[in-house]
Amino acid sequence: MNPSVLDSNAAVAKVQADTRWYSKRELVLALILLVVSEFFAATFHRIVHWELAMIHAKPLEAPQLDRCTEGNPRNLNDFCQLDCCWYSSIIRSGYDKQPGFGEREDRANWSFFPLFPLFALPLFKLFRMESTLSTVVASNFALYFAIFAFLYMVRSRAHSFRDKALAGALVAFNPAIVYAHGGYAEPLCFALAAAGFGLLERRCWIEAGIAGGLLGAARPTGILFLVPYLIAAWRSGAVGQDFRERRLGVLLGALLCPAGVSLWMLFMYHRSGDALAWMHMHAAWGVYRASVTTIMWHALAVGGWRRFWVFVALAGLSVSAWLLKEREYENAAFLALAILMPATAEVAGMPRFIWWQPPTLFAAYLLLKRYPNSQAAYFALAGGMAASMTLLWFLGNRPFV
Amino acid sequence: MRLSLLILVVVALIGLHLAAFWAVLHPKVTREYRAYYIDRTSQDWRVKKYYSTPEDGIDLAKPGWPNFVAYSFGIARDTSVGAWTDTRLGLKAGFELNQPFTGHVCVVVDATPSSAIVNRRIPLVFGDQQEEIAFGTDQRVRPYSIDFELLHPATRLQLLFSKPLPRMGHIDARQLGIGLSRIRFLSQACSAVADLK
Repeated sequence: MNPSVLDSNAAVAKVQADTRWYSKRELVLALILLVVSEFFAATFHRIVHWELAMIHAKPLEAPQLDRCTEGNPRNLNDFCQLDCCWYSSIIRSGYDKQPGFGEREDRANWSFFPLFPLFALPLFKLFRMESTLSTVVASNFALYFAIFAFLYMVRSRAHSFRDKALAGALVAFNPAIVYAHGGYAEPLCFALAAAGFGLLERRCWIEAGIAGGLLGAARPTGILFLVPYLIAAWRSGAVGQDFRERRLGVLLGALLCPAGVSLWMLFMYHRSGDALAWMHMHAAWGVYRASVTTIMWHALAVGGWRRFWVFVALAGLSVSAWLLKEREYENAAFLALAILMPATAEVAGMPRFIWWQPPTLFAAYLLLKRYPNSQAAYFALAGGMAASMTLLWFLGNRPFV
Repeated sequence: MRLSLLILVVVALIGLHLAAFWAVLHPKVTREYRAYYIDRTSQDWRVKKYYSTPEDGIDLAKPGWPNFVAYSFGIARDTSVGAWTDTRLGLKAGFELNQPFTGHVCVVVDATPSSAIVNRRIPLVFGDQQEEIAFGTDQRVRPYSIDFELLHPATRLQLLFSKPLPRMGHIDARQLGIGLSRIRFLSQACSAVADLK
């Protein structure tokens, strides 16, 4: 046999063995980080309980709790509020047939994409968990996959265990970590997007398309994954390749990216008669679309938390610009669009929208690796913000959503 | 074999996206749903109806609409006056009526202008007839009476704005034009109506 073929086979076998070894270590690391992150959230949850018990007070009631309690006689999970309640309603009784909730009876759970409730459904159906608990546990599970997927995304740039621990900790101690413990879809979306970016880097077009398609069924911004996909395809030269099967694979991946959204829209059409009901339902929340500059200008003028959210959005756009400078075009485009898309309606929720994007943590990872002395300062600030948000969450009076 | 399968999946996905695109362009919804959620021209959702005659008019401080009103557009309820026109809901504000009006009709509008409307003339259209309401600087609610000579049956009464009005403030994004308290339809000339209050 040709010795060069033997050498090549040996190299492939070594890479495969290394990959398996990396994967096993990453799985264990992700598990450890998940446990520590759980401990972090549980600690602040207990602190709020002790503090309120000491002054004989109760937490303020979170808005929209009626979707947690409606048709649900069992005790609610404390972590589940706001969007989590809407997701739990989908788990209990599926998508509403018509709007009928809220003060004006004009709200329905159509704005909440189906992948996350589907992910939580087995916990409710098979393990008989209470619906809000199912939602919270599902987001915890998703956090595990998010850490692992991010390690997969940065694998080619993480050469030591220290690098991997840094990358994993960025996810596990995300400043907006409370959403991973509060029954939100964010960690699942993060996991899918990070896996998608990792697959794009490895030129696995169909697999990346599947990740993008699933992402599109998880959140509205998921459809944006098509943009980094097309950029990656263009940069790789795969678009112009003569080998027709490869070119067809790239096309198939591109068509898979919006497949989740298309299926979701067809389901909505069947359910409500309006394929865009998930977007039109924002009317019931009083959300009006306007230009990004108008929304930001008025939010800046109002001050307080709104001004803070605008600064978060601007910081996110700066991160996107930095990624562009670093020639990380796929990450830069996805992050910028993921900020601009919700910013046409509101700036509330910006910390969640930005900190739960893989490109943001990817940029943080690259910077912290480049400037290791700033790691302590970063984690002090991130931990402080995560702690504040978690405390506010359990006090029931948080100004963020 | 693999190539054939890829082609088949590509064709299926194109079909899926075309079907979704078609569904987006052809919503199967009620007029009320379209106006409230899609066009965002109306804030009528599950509106209750109450009995009233056109002479008694539309009392905008009351919840719901009289039975002779089909639906409203461009109008947002407000506890201070009753309702305000809001150009975020479109540049036309008014009512589609269930019963047609013809002949002499005096429309009496108890209204107040917002600061964006003071000293301006706003077109009021009833069916195919157009008149104007002249607002001064007085921002109290007062009756404005407008005569219409309707040759054809008219079911639509609307105020027209030429462009979106400025928003009320940084927090308050509403673009208020005219505050409406009551609208009456009298089948006679306004000059013959003794008491407009």
